Amino acid sequence: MQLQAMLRLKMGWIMAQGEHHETVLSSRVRLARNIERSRFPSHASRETLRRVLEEAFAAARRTPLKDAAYLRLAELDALDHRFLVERHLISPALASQPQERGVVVGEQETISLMVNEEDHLRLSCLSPGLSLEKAFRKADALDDGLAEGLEYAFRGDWGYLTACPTNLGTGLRASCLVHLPGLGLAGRTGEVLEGLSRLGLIARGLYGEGTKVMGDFFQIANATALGRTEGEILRALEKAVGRLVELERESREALASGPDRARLEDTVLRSIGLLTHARLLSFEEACQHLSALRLGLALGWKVPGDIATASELMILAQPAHLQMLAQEELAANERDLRRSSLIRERLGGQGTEPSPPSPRSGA
Amino acid sequence: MICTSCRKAEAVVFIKTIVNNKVSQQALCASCAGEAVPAGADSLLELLSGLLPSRPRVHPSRCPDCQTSYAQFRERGRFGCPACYEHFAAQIRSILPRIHAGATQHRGKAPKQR
Repeated sequence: MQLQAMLRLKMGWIMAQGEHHETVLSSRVRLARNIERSRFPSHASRETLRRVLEEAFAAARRTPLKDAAYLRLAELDALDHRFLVERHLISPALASQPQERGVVVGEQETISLMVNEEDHLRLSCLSPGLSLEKAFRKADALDDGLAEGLEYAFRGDWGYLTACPTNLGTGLRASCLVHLPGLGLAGRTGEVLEGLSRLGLIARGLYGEGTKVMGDFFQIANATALGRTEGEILRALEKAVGRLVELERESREALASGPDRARLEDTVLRSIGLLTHARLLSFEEACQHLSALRLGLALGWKVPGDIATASELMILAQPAHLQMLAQEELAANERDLRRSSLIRERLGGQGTEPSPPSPRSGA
Repeated sequence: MICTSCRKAEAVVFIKTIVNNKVSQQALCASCAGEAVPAGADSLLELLSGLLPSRPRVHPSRCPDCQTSYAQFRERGRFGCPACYEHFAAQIRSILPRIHAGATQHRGKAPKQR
C-alpha cells in the first residue's frame, strides 16, 4: 500500500474543462515504441527486460519527465497495482506480470509511460475535454525526447515496429472517453456506434478492450495506425467525436423538451435518490447512477455535486481505491458500504437526509 | 490442355475442389484464372494459400533472432522481435492491407536523428 499518498492528488485530466466536456470527459493519445535489436517483452529474457526498463527510465529522466514518479511494479503490492489500473495509469496486462515492468507517471497523472507492456514503451498523454491535438503535442515532444536516448525499431515503409502488426505505422492510438446517456435513453447508442465502425473507428466500454459498458461511458478510438499521418488520424477522430457530441446534444435536448421530459427527470432524480440515500452500492450500480447524475448536471439542473465530482467519484468508488482509502483489504459487502458513504459524503452531508432536489427548467 | 472456361487458350492453373466428397476439376488459362479470383483477394495465389488451414509448408522457417515461427505469429497475433518484420516481410506485406484498411505505406513521423 505504498501509493496511498496518490489518493490526495488531483487527476489533471478529470477537471470539467476543455471543449465539449459535458460529453467528452477526456482525450488520450498513446504511442507504441520498441527498442531496436531487443525482443518484444513477451519474448524477452529477464535480462533484456531489465535492460529495457533501465534504459527507458534513464531516457525519460532526460526529458521533462525528470521530476515524475518512477515506479517499478515488482516493488509494489497487488493493491497498488490494482490502484494504478483503476486510475488508468497502467493496463491490467502490465499489472499481471510485475517483474521488470515499470511506469513513469507525470504532470498530475496526465502522462504515463508504461515500460515492458506488449511493447517496450507505451506513452500516454491525457487532456480534459475534446483536445486530441493538445494531448498529441505533449506526447510528440516527449517521444522526440525519448528518441534521443533510445534507438527505436523503425522502418521507412512500415513505420514504428510493434509486437502486434495492428499498431504498426504511427503506433498511435487516439481515443476519447465519451458519455452518451442521451443516446442511451433514446435507444440509439447501438445504431450510432455502428456508424462509427463504418468510419474506421472502434467503440469500447469504459475499461477498454473486452470490458462491458458501464453507465453509458464509451471509448472511441482509431482502428488503424498505418497509412495516415498522425494529424490525419487525429482529425478524423476529432471530426467523428464532434459529430457524436452533436447527436448526443440533440438527444438530450429532445428528451428535456419533449414528451419524455418526465421520464428523463425520473431517471436522473431516482439515481440521485439512490446515490444520496442507499447504504450499499456495488460499483456497477454506482456507475449507472453517477452517469445519470452527470447527465442532470450537464443539463444545468440544480442537483447535488458538480461534473468534476461525478467524474472523480467514478474513479474513487472503485474497489482498490476504497481499500486504499480505508488502509485495509475490504470484503465486497464492506466495500459497498464504504462506497455508498463516500458518495453520500461527496454529494452533500454524511448521513443527512437531503431534501428532494428540484430541477431547473430548460436543458 | 485447353482452358475449361473460355475453351480457347492453354490452361495454366488447375483447381481441384472437393465438396461433400464430390470432386470437381477446373483447368484455367491465365486470363480466366485472373477473373476467377473474387473481389478483395489480392491474387490467386493468396486465395489458394488461404484455403489451406495452417499453411504448414508455406512458412517453415523461424525468425533467426527470436525463433518465432510464422505459425506462432498466426496463433498469437504477436511477433517476437523487430527482426521478425525483416524475416517475414513477404507474408507481412500480404496481410497489411487487410489489417490497415488497404494501407501498406507509413506516412507519419520518423524518429528524430540522434
